[in-house]
Amino acid sequence: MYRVARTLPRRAPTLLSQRNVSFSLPTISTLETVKSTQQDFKGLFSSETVNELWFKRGQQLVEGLNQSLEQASASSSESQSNNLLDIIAQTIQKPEHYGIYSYGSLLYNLQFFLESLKENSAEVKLSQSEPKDLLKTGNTTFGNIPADENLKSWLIDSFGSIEEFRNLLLNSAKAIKGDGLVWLVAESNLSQNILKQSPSITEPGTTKDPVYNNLAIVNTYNAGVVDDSLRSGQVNRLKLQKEANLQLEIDRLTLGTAEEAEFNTLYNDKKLLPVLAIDGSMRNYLLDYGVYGKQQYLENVWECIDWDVVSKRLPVRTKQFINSY
Amino acid sequence: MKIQTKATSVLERTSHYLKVGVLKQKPTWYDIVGAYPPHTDLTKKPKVIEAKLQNQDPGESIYAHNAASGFYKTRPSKHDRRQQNNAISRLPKLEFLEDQLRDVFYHQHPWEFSRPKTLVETHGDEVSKCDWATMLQFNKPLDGESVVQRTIWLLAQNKHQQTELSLFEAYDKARFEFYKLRMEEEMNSTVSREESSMYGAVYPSTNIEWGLKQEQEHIDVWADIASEKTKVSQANQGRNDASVGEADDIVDVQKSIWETSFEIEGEKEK
Amino acid sequence: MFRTTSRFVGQAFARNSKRSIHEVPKLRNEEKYIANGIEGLYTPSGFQTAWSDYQKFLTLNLTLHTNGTENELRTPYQILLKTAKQTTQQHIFHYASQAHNNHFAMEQLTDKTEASKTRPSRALMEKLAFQDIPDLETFRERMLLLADSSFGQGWVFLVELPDKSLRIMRCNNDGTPYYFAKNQSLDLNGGVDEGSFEYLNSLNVRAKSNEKDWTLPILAINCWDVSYIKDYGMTGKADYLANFWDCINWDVVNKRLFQV
Repeated sequence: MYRVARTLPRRAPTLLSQRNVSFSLPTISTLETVKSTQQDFKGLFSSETVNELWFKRGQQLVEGLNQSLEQASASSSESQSNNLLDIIAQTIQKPEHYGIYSYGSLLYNLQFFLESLKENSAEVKLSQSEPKDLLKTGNTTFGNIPADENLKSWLIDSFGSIEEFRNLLLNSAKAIKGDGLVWLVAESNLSQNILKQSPSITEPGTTKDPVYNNLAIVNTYNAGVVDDSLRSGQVNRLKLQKEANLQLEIDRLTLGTAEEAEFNTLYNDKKLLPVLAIDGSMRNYLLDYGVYGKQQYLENVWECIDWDVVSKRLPVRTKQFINSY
Repeated sequence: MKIQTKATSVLERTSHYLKVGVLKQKPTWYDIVGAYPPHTDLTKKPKVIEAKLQNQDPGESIYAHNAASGFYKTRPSKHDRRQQNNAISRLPKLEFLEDQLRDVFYHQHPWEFSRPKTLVETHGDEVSKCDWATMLQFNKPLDGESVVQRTIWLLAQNKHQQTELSLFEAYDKARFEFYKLRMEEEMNSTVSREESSMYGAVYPSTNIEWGLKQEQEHIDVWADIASEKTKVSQANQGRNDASVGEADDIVDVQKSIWETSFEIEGEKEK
Repeated sequence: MFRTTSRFVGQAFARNSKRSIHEVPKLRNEEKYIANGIEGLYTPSGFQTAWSDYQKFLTLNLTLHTNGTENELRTPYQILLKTAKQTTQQHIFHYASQAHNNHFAMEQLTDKTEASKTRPSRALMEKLAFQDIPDLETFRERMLLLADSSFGQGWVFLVELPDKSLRIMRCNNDGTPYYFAKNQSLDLNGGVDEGSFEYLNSLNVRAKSNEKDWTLPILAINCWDVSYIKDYGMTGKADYLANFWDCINWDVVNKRLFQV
């Protein structure tokens, strides 16, 4: 009733036709099966939750996205792309397109998460957790260890062991209080800036493409995107502006705080390539596991991760490390 | 316990302090106590010997005059010594497995001591409300004691179920659960902060800066007390003339280190 | 004289040193709500998720994280103020702030028939008129639109500023209206405009200068999923918000306003 849609004036049909690309809910085959058979997503979600999470909420996001796109296309001449990532990249630095960006990013994140999952073949009964489950220490015995040797060895080299990786991943997800996802990403060893500027990289036999040598875990909140290389331009611009202002006020030399150092390195525009996402938002577990059920939900998610999909998303691993910077 | 003699010499000591300048003003009672010195000695005396309520030290009975032989016994016999040293008359040494575990845990994790601990208890039975089937408890913070109690519980459970679990395995199991929970809490705190920053929360100082500030407040108080005590101890050592300059030196150094603003009374007078 | 001193010490001991765990506060008519839900807003199971379970979840977590620390005996309100500036205690702040906000919002609700008998006071409406909100309908539109159009979890508050004027404030996630640097009214995902950036910088300056904040909430709207998912589903926020408005007990809200 109070949706943004109603409060914004409806566009006339002629305006609508200006943008001929309109989004529809993407198809995720595992979820389609759940919907058609009315059965649970084995080991993780009830069919009702799948319906709510993807078919209803996903649809709502698609509608929101289409609506914001219609309004934008009436006022500006954005390139009409049908690719969610292009849309996110185009709008992330433009505050006036906050709506398009947010809907696009939320939809992309949700789809990315749900596509990383497969049904768990083992018999798992979904049940509501109780207050005393808050006291439980997380389960240390677990299955679903990636079979792909390349992925497995990369994970072990980056995190120490599969168990440590699992702990870090699930703890990061559990700590998210509002909406947000935890991502496994492949991290480029050099920032985009250096890749662009450095003459040595352009020598014959080398490329300007990022090379990935490390896996890392990153959190995003609400409609956040993983890739810092998208954000950094804007943050740098605002930062330079801030520095210019500060220069006028402060003449004396001050030692920077740890905060500032963190800020500087936080958004150094290293390319991050997402390979796995887990949604830690409350809505994912409230219906099936109850208020106290986040730990149980996350442990079940681990058992449902489709490592084949993750392996396919993985970039080529480069072990060579250039440390001249 | 050392016999308290200082109470009676209060007038004497105060006069001394006034003379060397430790006390600036005469205390209000000073003149009155000077005029009417206490006529009772308030010092506590060892009761038995002084008050002569008891004729004899019971230990002396073994050295009593032996009427039969007509001799005095001058040293305990073999039999007497055995009586004195036997297990019944000695305090038993209390040994618990828990204490050994505590010892091991806190030697391995000395920084666990640096965590603040509340000693207040409502009825002293908080631990009895705990069920160590889980490491976390609602009635008790997570600390080394949790590891100890959980280890004991695991061992008891092990005995009950007749499985093979050595003490070391049980301790390690508890210890790793403890690490896991600590890691989880740390991540909880880090992520919460990151998340709120994403929504525009702003923090006036980092935790380290805040900690330094808190510490400085206590150091300032300490520096005040320390400078006073230095002066008192120097005055007591009777190096009055030499100490004035020395005390000033020390205070000056402290001032530059801690940037405290305490007043040096000697300087004020000058 | 000695006796009075000892009695005083005894009282202080009893008050300050009794250790205990955080409990779910009791609501007016709670038994009725547990049995029948809140008419026009919650079914019994919806009420259980939004209040009984969630509030217990928060207070239990608060107990787990404050046990044996200085915050153990404080109320959630005191804890949220004490931890708001601590960079390593933000998880404790979360549970405290949520527990306080959830209680604050739940206190102002009642059955729809009861609620319809109450009206916002004249003082409240007069103050709103200064903020370009001429009538109740506009007020409703403003509050609910802000609540519905925001992404993610959060709260919408009507707050009273130190100069006694009213303002509508959105607090993302566990944001609190009591301290300006933890209002969390921005979303730094996506494009950040000049205004937001300037606002953030000004917050930094104000926080660094230890500025005090005397803002008080008057009315809260809960936009967390947990408050409606059971009865309205994941996409039912708009319907929930409309019902929420109809169940506000204005007598409670009127009393929160500063009165001379």
